[in-house]
Amino acid sequence: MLGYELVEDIIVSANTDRVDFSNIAITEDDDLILVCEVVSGVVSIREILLYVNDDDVQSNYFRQSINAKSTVIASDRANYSSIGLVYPGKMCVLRANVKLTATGKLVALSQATVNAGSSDILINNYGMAHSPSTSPIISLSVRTDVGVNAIGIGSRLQLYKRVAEVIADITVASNTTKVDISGLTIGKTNEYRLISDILANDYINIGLHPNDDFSNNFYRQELNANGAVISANRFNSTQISYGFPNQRSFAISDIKLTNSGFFICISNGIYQYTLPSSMYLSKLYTTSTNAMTSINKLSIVAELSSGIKAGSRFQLIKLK
Amino acid sequence: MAAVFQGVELYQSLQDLSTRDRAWCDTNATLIYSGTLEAFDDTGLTGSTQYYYKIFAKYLDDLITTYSSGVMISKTTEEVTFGEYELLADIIVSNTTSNVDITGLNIDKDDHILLVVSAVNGASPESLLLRWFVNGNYTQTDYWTQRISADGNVVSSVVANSTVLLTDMGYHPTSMANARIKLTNSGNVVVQSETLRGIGQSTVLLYDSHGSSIFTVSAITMLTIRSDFTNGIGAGSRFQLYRTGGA
Repeated sequence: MLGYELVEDIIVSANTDRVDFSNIAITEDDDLILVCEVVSGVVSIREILLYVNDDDVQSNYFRQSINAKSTVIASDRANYSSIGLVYPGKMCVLRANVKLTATGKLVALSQATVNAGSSDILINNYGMAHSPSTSPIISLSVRTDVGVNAIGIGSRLQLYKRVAEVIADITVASNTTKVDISGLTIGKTNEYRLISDILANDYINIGLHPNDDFSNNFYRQELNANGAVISANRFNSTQISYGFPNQRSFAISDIKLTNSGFFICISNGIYQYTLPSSMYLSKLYTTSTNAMTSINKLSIVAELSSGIKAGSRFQLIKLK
Repeated sequence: MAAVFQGVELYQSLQDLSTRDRAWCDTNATLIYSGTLEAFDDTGLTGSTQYYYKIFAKYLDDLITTYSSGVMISKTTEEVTFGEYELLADIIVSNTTSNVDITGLNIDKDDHILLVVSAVNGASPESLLLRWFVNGNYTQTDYWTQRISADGNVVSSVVANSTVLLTDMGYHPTSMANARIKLTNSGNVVVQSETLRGIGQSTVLLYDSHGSSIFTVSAITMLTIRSDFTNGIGAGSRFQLYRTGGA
């Protein structure tokens, strides 16, 4: 049994408007990965959309994107449930982490290789959030923005559900500055993932610290998109997420101890997804500057006192 | 006056309760249900563990609460198994080299693969690149890559008619990549890579690349990581290849 097991594998046998994963029962405890190879079935560019529980009201969704096409980088926020983009006669290969958050809202973080297999290749990254709470998930539907037979024959859509062990599952009971996960033995042969659903009480930075190292022995490079504004920066600190006052942020952080012993954390997240019309999409990549032999403890730390509010949830998963 | 049924009390323990009465259970076991339901689900149990349950009927007899002698059952929970990535290869480079071949693979269109790279810079050119190739096809023009990077406050992107796993490695001693590899239903190989260059340094930067072959294969039997300068892959570099099941 691998880290994620197949829920459903659909190969499209004729051009279609939609591909549905039905008869599923996904709760806030689960996490999903949706892998799509969408072949265009029409002659115009189409956004690939994800709907939950048959809610196809676009105004119930927002997405923030970061796109790179040759030397042009752009970003965009829109009232759409986009997870990918498909060009006429081309293929989009996307991989989306799909999660029902602690408050029952669907979020997705998608990395799409648009025009895979051709010289027109480009990158589209999406963060997407559904505003209404909807738990459990009983159906997911992949469609396009103008949908007549836009998903072409030969498209393949695979839905996976995590079966890897949850090492820690912490729902914060009262406002706190720090959440500790102790008793770990993360070595150089392991792969771990932290899923964070953070309710913040202010504008805060939230860092991930190994082995009680709360010094400035870390650097991070980040890339952020806020509507059409893209920014980047490098800081002398570790960070997995930003927090906004009384809003929730969602982040997936892949944790690795390199062969030379450095702590690495690759985080992708959306911030204030509970106010999705102002949602950010960010990538935060952190390295330690000191080497270590193992990670025995991880601490999630808010920059401000009691910055992590009750109801925040952290799930640490052992993938290997 | 006849005894009047009031309900049941259900106790749980890791000890055998067959000889225990209700008073003992009330002190030493865990009361998990009290009421009149005919069914009850006990949840949150530990795998591979034998649990004992004893149920007592509760009566009012001449206004005095009394209990039956109880009935016990026992059951062992099933073993809980978790999935994890399957390690396909774990190569630690002992001598500086130009190529790392991962052979004997049988990656098909159902698979999802993760390549984790801890790369040590083995050569001096700042423009040192590591590239990926499949099935021995080293023709650069058979691949395309779109990259996006953030270096301090500078964001840039570029497309190239080649594969790229790590770029400009010569500026830093070590770099790292999480590369997700997929053989599509149409037979193209797609690699989505998230990269940090400058591990352990104040000049760390992020670098994402999405690459694709423009040729098709029915299976991936070999992956090659190749530096474009001689001996660009330093001793201590590590390449871990996993079958993930989706991640």
